[in-house]
Amino acid sequence: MAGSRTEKIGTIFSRVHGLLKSGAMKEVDKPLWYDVYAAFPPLVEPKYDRFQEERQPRSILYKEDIIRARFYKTFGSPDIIDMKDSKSVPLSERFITMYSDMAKSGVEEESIFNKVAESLRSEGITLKTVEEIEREKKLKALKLRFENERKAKAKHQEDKTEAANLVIEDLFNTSAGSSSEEPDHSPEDDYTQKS
Amino acid sequence: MISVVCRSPRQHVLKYFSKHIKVLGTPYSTRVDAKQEEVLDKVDQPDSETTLADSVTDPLKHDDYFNVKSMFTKHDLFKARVHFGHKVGVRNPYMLPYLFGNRLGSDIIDLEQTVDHLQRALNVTAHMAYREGVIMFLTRNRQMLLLVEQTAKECGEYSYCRYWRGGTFTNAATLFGAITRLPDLCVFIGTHNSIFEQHRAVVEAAKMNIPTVGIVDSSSDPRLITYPIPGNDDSPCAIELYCTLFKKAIMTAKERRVQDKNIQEEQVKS
Repeated sequence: MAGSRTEKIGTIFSRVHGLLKSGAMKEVDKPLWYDVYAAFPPLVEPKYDRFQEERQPRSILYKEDIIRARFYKTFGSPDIIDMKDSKSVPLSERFITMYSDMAKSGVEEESIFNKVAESLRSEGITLKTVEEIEREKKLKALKLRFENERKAKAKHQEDKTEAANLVIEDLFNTSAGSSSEEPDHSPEDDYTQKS
Repeated sequence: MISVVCRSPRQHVLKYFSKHIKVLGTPYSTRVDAKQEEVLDKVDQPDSETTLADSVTDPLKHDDYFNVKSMFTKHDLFKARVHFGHKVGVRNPYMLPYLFGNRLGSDIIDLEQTVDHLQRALNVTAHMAYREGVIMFLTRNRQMLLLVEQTAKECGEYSYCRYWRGGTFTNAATLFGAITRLPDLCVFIGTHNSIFEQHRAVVEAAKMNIPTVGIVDSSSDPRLITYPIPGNDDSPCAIELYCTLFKKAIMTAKERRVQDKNIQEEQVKS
């Protein structure tokens, strides 16, 4: 069967059409797809030689992105988002709806953010700012350090008193007990036997 | 309805059609012209209540013979995460026309266009199945390999999802030691090979004049794919959707073929 392997020139349709027109490809050999392609041509001609656009696609941004960004900047990530669960609403999403509702009702733009946070807190949700979380973390670490130091000091004191109460005779008693449990077969015996 | 318009019918074309579609009986009355622009002409939409006998005479004249448009909605695509593209860094410049925009560094594919392209691709696939063409599914996505192979098996078609030996199409006679029938349509569920380059079969199919249907992500080159479908080619749920849709289209076409054949035989008898 005649064919043209120049895949970068024209399309498969134009190439086969040329072959058919010139008679290089017989009508009997016409590929099965030819009529289908003719009836339903592709929406974009599948040419290799194509105009390349230089533009950048538009950025997809929404008004509420500003609120969302501010939310995450102030509060970090306060909740766990289950990406498999499409029904549950993340906290930031709730925040945004409350924010926009409040903005519609005509509350001052400046105070909305804090008011929404306050109303969420009153619902029992723990909303801490990043600074608060940081401060708490530091405080916790400091507390832990003090606690450890206190414990270490207490232990040192304990050791000291223990040492003071120690009866030296007891130490000798225990060592005497262990010497009586010595095995019969001592390395010295080995040595004597060999020699 | 988009249809082929008869401008200057040539006798030999008609002869070919009547010979080629002998299963369908009645001779064809369409012809194909060189330039697509000339070929494409808007024709008044025929009544939707066309009789079966009419449509059997020429399925290609029917706008949506296999009813592929009702197979999926834009929302189905959205739910299957078809709109998610790759990050900006790997974007193929030829994919720009198919992009809706860029959301915080990752490209979003325009689902409006995906719907049109997918409908056309499914329609063409169904027509090829109706004409008893050999359809081959290809992918190099190892995670979804089994599903794609299973899909091909279930609809009685072929798949080639393993390592692609260069020349499988272009040098088939030598490789297989005999004259080999190549597929009539290649369906790429992902046009990349395992190392993020274009699947070698894309070029080989173009060289051998085999039409291709392919899912092209924002990082793929759509130029040599005859019927590109802009969409996510990585997410399992998206690939599952493509597989079910292609399977449905092929099965519908095959069933329709049997039905039409029976009708034809009855007409011949009476």
